Amino acid sequence: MRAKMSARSIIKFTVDAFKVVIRNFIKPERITIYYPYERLEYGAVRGWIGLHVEKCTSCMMCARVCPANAIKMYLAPDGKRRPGIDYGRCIMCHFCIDTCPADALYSTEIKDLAFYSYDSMVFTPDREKEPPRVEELRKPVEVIVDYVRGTPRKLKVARS
Amino acid sequence: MNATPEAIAQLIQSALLSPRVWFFAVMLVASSAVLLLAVWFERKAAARVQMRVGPYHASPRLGGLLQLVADALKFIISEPIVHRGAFRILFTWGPPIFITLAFGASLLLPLTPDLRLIRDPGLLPYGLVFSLALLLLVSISVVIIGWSANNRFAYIGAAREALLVAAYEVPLLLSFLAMVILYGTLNPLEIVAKQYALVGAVMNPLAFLAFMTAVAMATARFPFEIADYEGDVATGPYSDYGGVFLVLSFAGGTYYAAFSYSFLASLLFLGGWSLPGFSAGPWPQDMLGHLMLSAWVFVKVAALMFFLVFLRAVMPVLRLDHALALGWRGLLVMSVLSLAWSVALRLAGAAP
Repeated sequence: MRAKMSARSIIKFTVDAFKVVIRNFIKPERITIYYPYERLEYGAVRGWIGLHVEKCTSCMMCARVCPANAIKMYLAPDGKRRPGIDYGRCIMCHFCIDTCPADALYSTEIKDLAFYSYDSMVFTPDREKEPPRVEELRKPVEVIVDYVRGTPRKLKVARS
Repeated sequence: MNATPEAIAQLIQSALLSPRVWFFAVMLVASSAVLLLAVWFERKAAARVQMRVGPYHASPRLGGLLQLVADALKFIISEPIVHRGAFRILFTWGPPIFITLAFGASLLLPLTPDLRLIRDPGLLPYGLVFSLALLLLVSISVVIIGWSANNRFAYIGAAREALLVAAYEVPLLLSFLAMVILYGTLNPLEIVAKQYALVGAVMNPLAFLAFMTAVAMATARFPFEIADYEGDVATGPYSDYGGVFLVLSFAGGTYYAAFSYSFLASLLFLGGWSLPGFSAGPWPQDMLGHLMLSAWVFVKVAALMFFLVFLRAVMPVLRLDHALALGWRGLLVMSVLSLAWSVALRLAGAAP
């Protein structure tokens, strides 16, 4: 099967393609976020999970309910087992927080989780005790991406 | 030979002022700079059109210009692997042959009237023809690479390249021939001198269009990136290459081929170094003038290369049979018409 195209239509399509591309080249509509320099305003999203070690009763409900099998119980020196979360697996469903009978697990506002290595993704109870240090961004800008008449646009809301 | 200090100083002085040494140095530096800018422009232009940003983090102040340097460094220090089953000799010699042919072709052309590698003016016509011949041999090194890799994708890519060669080679040669008939000479110095008033692209636009389309096919620019299209054949003949082999063949060599083709096209179609109201004196005295003229040539080369790489943002990839149909039915007819136009101009006495 051969699509027969006239020379005129070939020229027309080529010129149209150039028109679109040059329009976008001169006035680009980018939705990319310059990540280390800008960050998204995430809105209502669940964040990093913290652990009050002194409240934990070692009931292991959190590890059982975890749908991604991200929670592993670590043996502490006092003979109790306490949850540690692998953020390589965690899907941020917060079932563990909901199910915790002692309110030992709690959610935080830390939503931007990025790690330099696999090892640093695994939070043992010792690391789970206090929230991780949030690295200062060089130029924190809060950004919102939204659809304007069918095309995504980057709407900046705050530049501090 | 008596190596007195005076003689040695004389030798060093003549080497420092030699047009050949300067030609070589200028070509090496300027081609690298043009390539760096062209690849940067390719990435940034495609990113702008596709709602992205493109390379940025490697050098935020320069807008990611040094990303290519980082990429090249990464490729050069990574281990070159020759897999079992590859034909070792051709597999390792393919990329050096590729880049030697691709870049060597541009060394046979003059940069300004005095800055050139071929010293004898009587040999310059042969340099012009020979550079085109070397550039057409690049496709053979692609087929060599594809065959030696012993990989299905590489083999399909090599076969596609061989089919494409048949489609673009004849139009390329015919449009070249059209320009040669138009100027009535093969000497690049005379060709450029004859474009003083009107450049070749204006005198024979069909030949320019056919030549640039054939160049886009020959250097696997976008609508014709068929032999090494990732969607079909996983970078085709270069599928098994990594490290420095990839730099010499796919990641760098095709751009050097595009550079040489653009250099040839800038002499044939865009008037080379002819700058109205400005001409350089004899070589050692008017060094600055010659360097300015060569910069003017490189501006034209860069413009052509920017156009070639800009096609990546514009075009989808053609299917192989469509590309062949375009080559045989469109380009061939177009180049024959351009040849007829040149002959008509020459017979009418309107040729320069």
